Amino acid sequence: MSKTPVYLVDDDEAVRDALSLLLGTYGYAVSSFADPTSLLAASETLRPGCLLVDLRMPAVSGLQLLERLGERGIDWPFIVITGHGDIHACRRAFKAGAVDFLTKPIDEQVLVEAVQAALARLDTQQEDAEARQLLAMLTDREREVLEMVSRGWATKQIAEALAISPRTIDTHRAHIAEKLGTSSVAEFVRIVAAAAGR
Amino acid sequence: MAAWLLGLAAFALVSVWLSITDAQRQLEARGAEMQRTIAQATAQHDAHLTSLATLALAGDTPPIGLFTQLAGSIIRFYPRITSIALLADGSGAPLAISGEALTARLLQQIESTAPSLPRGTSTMLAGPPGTGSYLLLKRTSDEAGRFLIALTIDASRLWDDADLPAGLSLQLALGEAFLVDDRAPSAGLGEVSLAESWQIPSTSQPLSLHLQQRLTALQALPFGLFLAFAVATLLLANGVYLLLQQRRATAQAHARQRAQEHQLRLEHAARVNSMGELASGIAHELTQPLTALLSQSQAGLRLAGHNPPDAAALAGVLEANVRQARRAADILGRLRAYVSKSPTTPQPTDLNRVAAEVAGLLEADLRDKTITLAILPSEAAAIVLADPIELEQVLHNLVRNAADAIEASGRGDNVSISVVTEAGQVRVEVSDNGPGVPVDVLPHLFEPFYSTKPAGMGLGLPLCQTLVERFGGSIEAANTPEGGARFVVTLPLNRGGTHR
Repeated sequence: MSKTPVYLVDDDEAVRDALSLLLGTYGYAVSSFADPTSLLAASETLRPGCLLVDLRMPAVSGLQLLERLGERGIDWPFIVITGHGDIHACRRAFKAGAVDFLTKPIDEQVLVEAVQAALARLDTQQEDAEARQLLAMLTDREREVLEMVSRGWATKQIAEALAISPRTIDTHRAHIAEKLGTSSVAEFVRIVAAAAGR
Repeated sequence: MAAWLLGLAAFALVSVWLSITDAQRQLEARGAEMQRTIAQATAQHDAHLTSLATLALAGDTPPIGLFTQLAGSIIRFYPRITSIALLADGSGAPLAISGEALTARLLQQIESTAPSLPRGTSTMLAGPPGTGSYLLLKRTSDEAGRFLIALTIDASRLWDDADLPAGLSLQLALGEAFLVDDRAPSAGLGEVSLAESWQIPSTSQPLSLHLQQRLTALQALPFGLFLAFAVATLLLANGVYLLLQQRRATAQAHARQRAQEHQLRLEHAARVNSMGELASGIAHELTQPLTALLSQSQAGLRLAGHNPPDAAALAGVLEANVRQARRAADILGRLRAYVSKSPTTPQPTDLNRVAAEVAGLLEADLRDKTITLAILPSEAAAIVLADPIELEQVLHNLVRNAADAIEASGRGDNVSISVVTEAGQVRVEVSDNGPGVPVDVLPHLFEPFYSTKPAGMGLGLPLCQTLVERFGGSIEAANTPEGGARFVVTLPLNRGGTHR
């Protein structure tokens, strides 16, 4: 699987080139866009990635871009960059859910750390989404059993709590393991926690 | 105006109502008085009849001489009794008569009434219409009831009518028949009519008295008072109106003046602050090439660290850096052109006044920071040939720098501007008791983009220098012996001109 993309949106070509080059030396796959509109136009075909967005751009601002992406169900992690480090803009960016807020000129170390954090957040988001998808395949009774198993209950205890035979519980566990692709209790716990966003 | 009219109407209504109730009260008092007077008269008539009847029966035949004598004296004493007659029952001619003669018509009335009149009683007959008189007839109380005594009474003299007021009309009636009726034609437009009736408490003369008081609008309304009230209230209302209008006009003028002054102050401040605006705009423009330069260079360093270094990639980085450095230089070039080519209007300007203006602009700001600003003006006028706004920009900048240094270091609390004229020059010193300028910074103070402030652009002092030099002046910086900073602006004194 190829690298998770970083989408850079800035109206200044020199800035786009410089940041792409710098992030490229760290091995990130950067796709840059001159304006929010071209990113929006391509958004259907883009793989999930993190966004590096200039706050102040003509026509559509950085925060407006994020809003519109949200309307299309895209909630990738984003980093806001700006030439004006004013507190008001900073607060608005964090309120909108920004991973970080960077002022130009951007220091290399700060930039790389922010991108790392954003990509880590994307991973977590994706794991959570997968976990939710897995859980959606289970029946109500199977989810009930899984919940108890991940709390560390033994088959006998679960059978007593649900007033059914331990054999039936075992059957449920077999189905759960088949659907989740694992029979490890530790994995069960992780999937349940991720699905709940914990 | 409407309120005034309404007030007048209310006043008129109240006045009319008061007049009417007053008239009503007077009418009632007058009616009661007349009722008492008339009742007294009717009782006297009964008494006369009794004594005349007693006299008539005094002998076998009536003593005609005595009767006539008594009747005469009664008529003299009571002029309303116009005649007294003694008649034998059933006979046509009177046995005795005093006063006016009885008309044939009256005698006829007596004859037709007499048979139904029991002995010892009296009755009343209305006189011929238009005469206003009535006849009081009594049959003597002897067994046969042989005699009749008749009193003719002028009903209109039953009361003393000398003081009947204007508009009062009176009717005196016996049942349906009016004995006295001086009613005027019915009430006209704008007239009010009050009416009351009284019964006279007399069995022999059951008269009824009606009084009508007519009030014209003029009477109901105390016209003089009304007019006085109207004029007084009009004058008062007019006075109040004028007063209010004057106050409103004054308030409006004040508001306008305040708004104008505020606007002027704002425009003035905007012009003085234009240097800050410029710096902020330049900062924004320079950010982009600086961002590109920094990131390109950092990428270049990483590329150079590869083994073997990617020479083609490095060349690309350096080319990009050259482009961005030129871009930044262009921006600075535009800034210099802006400063040197911007229009300036040198005019004779009093630096004392410039200092005062700057103090006004910064007053609130400095007060918030608990920094005092002292102005020490020169004794003589300190006139230089310069653009007053640009000089304000210079002093504004110097005072702001001093305040920023005091605020950042926490040392000092005072900035002063002193203006001194000497040897054909004006010296303006802006000094503070703050931390002073570090010795290593002093030589670089007027270099563009050299700043020790975290958010500083390093443009304020170079711009000050450019502006001052434009007017043939100079600016110097030093530290005071006490440790604060002192900036000295020197400009040539303008001898010929007058200040603005």
